[in-house]
Amino acid sequence: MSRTRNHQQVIKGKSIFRALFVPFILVMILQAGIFYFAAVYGGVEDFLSQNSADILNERLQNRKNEFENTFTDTWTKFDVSTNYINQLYAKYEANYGNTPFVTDSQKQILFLNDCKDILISTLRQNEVNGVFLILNDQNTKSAALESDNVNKYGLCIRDMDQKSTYTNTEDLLLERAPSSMIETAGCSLDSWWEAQYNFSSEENGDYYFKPLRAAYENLSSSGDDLAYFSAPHRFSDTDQAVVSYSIPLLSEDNEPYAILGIELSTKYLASMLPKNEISDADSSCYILATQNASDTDCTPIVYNGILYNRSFDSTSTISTADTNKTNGFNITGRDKTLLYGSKSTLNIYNNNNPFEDKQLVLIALEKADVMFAYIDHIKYVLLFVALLSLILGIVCILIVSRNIAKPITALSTRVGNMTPEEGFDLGRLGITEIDQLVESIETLNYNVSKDTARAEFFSRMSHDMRTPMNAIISFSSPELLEDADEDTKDNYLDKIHDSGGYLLGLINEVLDMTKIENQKTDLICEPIPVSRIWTTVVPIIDKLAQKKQISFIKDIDDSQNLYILADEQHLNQITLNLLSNAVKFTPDYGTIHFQVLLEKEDKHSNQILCRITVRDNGVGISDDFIQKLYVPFEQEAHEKEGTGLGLSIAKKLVELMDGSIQCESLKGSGTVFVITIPFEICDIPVLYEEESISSDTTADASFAEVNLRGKHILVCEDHPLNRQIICKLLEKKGMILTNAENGQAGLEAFAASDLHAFDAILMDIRMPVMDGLTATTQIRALTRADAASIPIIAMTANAFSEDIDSCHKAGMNAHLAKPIEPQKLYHTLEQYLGDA
Amino acid sequence: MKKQTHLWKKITALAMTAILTCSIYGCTAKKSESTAASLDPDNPVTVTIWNYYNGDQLAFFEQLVEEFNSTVGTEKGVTVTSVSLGNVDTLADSLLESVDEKAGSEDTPTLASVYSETAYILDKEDALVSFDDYFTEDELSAYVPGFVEEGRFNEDNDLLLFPLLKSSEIFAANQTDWKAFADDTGISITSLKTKEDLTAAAERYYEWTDAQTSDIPDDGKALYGRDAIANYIYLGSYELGHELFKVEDGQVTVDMDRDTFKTLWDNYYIPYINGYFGHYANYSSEDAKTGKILALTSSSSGVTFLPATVTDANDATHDIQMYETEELSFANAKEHAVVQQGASYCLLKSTEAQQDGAALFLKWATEPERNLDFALKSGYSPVTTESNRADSITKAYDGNTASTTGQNILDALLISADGFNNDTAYATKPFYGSKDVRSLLQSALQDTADADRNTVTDSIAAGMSRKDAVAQFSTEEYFDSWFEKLCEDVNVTLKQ
Repeated sequence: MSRTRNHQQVIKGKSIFRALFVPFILVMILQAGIFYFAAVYGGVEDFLSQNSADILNERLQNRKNEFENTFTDTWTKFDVSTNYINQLYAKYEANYGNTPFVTDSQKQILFLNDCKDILISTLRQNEVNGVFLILNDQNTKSAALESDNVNKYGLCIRDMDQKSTYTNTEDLLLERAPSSMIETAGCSLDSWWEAQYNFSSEENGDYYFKPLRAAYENLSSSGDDLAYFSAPHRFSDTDQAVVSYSIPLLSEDNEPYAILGIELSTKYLASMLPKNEISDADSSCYILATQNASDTDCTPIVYNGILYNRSFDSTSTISTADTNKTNGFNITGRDKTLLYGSKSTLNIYNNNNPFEDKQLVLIALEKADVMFAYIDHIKYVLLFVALLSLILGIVCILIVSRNIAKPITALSTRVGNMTPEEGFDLGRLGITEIDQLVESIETLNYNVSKDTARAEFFSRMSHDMRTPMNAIISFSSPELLEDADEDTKDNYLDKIHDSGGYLLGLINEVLDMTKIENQKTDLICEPIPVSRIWTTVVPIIDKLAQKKQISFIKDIDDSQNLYILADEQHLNQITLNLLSNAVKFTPDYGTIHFQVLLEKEDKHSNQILCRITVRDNGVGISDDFIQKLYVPFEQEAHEKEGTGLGLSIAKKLVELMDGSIQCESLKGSGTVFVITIPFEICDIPVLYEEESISSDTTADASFAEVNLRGKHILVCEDHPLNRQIICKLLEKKGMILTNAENGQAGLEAFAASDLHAFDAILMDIRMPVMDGLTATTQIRALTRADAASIPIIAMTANAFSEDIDSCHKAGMNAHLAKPIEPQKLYHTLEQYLGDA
Repeated sequence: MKKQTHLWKKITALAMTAILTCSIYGCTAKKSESTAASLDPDNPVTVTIWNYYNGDQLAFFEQLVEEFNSTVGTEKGVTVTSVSLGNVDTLADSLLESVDEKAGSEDTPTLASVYSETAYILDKEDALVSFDDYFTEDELSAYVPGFVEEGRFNEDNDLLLFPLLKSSEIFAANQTDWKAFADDTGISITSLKTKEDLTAAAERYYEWTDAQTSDIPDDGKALYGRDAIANYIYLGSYELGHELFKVEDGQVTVDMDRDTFKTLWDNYYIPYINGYFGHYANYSSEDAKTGKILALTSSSSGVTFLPATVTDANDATHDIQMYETEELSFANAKEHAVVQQGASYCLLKSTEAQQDGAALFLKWATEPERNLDFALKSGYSPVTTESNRADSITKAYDGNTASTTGQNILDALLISADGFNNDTAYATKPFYGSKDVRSLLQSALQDTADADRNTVTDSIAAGMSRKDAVAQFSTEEYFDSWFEKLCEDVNVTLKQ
């Protein structure tokens, strides 16, 4: 697949918006729907309806109580006049005999005259519109109840402004009074004054005849228990309607001699029904009505509110038959408006009143759509809230998806527009996950760049490897050798050796870097003398510096005789890299300073800080390159050879050791590297017998001259070339060889051999059939006496510390890294065979 | 940017000009053009009206109020509450107590029906609002000029009383029961042309009724009674050429002429103490209703109280028919005048909305057709020129069902309209002390007559003859002493 793509190619698939939007909106619709229907239809509506009905009922009850109190209170105050009149009548009976009014109009007029003042006084003290006293001028029930066109003497005085507090009678009007009383009454005559009550029927004068009849039919009852609340009546068409509350006045023989009553104008009653108490007058009204106990229809007496006029005509009755579940009733007005009603019966009669059946009721009516309007309002509010939540959710999703998509889109654009020349810094967008993605992309780019550098590296490696290989191959070719003299041949051999060594160095660096990048590098810290920091590398650099006449100045703190826990191999690798670079980039006759300082944080600390400074006055490093000094494979333009891995390897190793590395450089003036590594001081020196990979050239060369002749060596090597090299080297020293081409063959050869037949085993590690480590383990496991003691020396290209450690664990005694250096081979064999 | 700035400047200037123009217009506009400015249908204001109507008049007035409340009132946000205080004197006393914030007094109403004397006092207490703020000249020109003029009595000539319903006086007689008298004596109702004729007829009636109970001497019955004796004195003086109190440029000129008062005395007090005239109940109409008198002078607005039946002392009733005509003048009257009465409405200081609402109600209630409709129900005269014409009244009445009361009302309205349009409509301008002086004059004649009549009846009951009983009260000296005292009392009252 091509690594370059046109980033504007259409990307198929779901956008973040679609991927997020659809499931969220479905969930939110579901949520809103459940919320709305559960709230509205889950009992809330019924609750609210009941609540509205309860409020209406409460107001109705309060208004009903006010009516009851008014009636009760008013009638209670008439006890004074009742008692007075009864006492007066008793006197009349005493003076004039029983039933003094019968056929004696003068007595009646006289009596009314005597009652005038008490009635006016009672009228003044109460908020009623009128008071009346009508005399019974008959002494038999039938005659008394004769109602067809009969005249009765009576006194009816009205006060149109019942709240007035006048003490005179100028604001009172006589409605009914004998003409002889006019002058003495002091009241003006109303327009429809007449001297007597004229009744045309019992219904027409129900306020007189009903209580009168009740008195005749309930002779044992007191007058108060026979009170009667009349229908509205008026004296003339233009007179305002009044309702009466009348009781029979009883003689000592319980015979009714008069009817005493109070009048309340319908206008006054209407004023007790506030118009806007329930809701506005257009939508509600109170109605005071009468109702027979067994009936559901109510006959209105008085009402207050425009609603009544709009819903009913003057002859309408209010039907309460259509009850509802909130204990009210429904009724439809003539304009088809649905009304909700509640009714309460006024308790204005004493118990066992014969008129109990005819109840006075107070009705509250309200338009159903107004009464329950807030329910609809709540429904709409809930619906609105649900929709609003839905909309907000959508907006939220839009914002979220936009906030996610936008940076991703921006990132995509940046990545698509980037060029290698611009470098790769995408910046950070403030969103953790996206910034992580950005970091990954930058790392990817880094790795890609590294791949690019790696490609360049391989390109260069190809050149750098091929060059010494060319030398090796060419200088060892028969074509060049057959005509070469001995000096030339020696020269060729030197070049071949140098090329091999250079090639080995290249391979080692690549292997080191690979291991570091794969995080397979572990520090193997062992107690070493602190002097090992410089003692290994200084001689090597001395030689290299000598070749270029470079002044190699050493400033080393060797005062402290300590042992530290350190990975000597990697530590030397670090120092060697820095110093070899210094040598490489310092021109002839330049100067290199090498300083090693050791510091303790405090004298009780068990850590010592090692500061290594390498300063040269070489070519320096450019400002551009110093930014990528430690980037693997990166080299300055003028570098013609090398892997470009040395500094990156050194930095990685320093960081592994919890140290730091800094570099300062000035192009054309020189470079300073400062490495700071903390080491733990250890007290007990532990000596290893194992050889390190270090090219310890200080090894005694004469060691190779130890007598190895006649020693029998088992060589386990699968590669014929390697086997040939080893054999040649060993045979040169007169050793006897037995070859095994794999570990299995070597194991069998050793197992089959006589005891102590072999003096040592040279074991390759990577072999088919059985590798060297397994073969060693099995050899050591043999029960023969020399199995545990025979020296087994590893020969392997695996030259890392862990390889050495693996060899030790398998039971090997020593480790020789390929390519085998002859002197090291001889030295190692002598070390293990010299005592033998 | 410059263009935008210039545009904004133009817009700002235009807006400021418009605002300024509207403000100036608003300030100079009559309140009547923006009466509803303070009214808000959503926050209705209550306007309380004190009146002295009774009976049918009260009922009709309250119907009018209810109609207003349910129509224009609902639309504009005005609720009118009517309170009847029974009679005009009670109302005046209550109103003055309310304005003075006396203990136990009622809350001051927005509108109140009062006479000019009461309005004068209220104006002095700075309790009134001028109706000029609510009616344009054009609007006021639709009303009977004399009715409007009656409301201008202070130095600033402010319109402090507004006419809603006016009345005059009429002479009414029970022609049903008069017939027997007329048949026997030849004195018909129509033969009465002057007050002197009435006095003579009343004497004749007393003698005629006395003769019917030959066994009981001097128990004749009164023929005539009247209300508002003060009107008799004021109008009589005016007709006889001596207007009692003339108010010009705030100055009051008192003209209490002895001969004029003697005429008044001779045609009321003398017949009264003789029993030719009588006043038994609160109103003469009540006396007519109970058969105690046959004829009366009453307010034209009291026509609804004129009886259609008479209930006698035995409480037996019989139907009657009343005859109405214009009030009689004196024989020596310099000119025929009619009294202009009927309390007009004053506007008391209230909230702006209440005052606006009150003006709105008055305008609505005095719309010609509506005003005339109420007049035909109540007996009060309409107040606009258009409606206070015989043809308008007759035409409007044609729509009503004929009834005795209705016929009485129609006759009264026609008589009043004729008087207002063709005669001098007399109304006293108020002045300092005018209310008290009116009361003084009212009681001076009536109370004296009542007291002296009681003495006469007592004397008669004691066996004295009527002639002898009244003799002491019929002398010139007695009159002069009464007149002198009256003059003194008037002077004292005016000086208080």
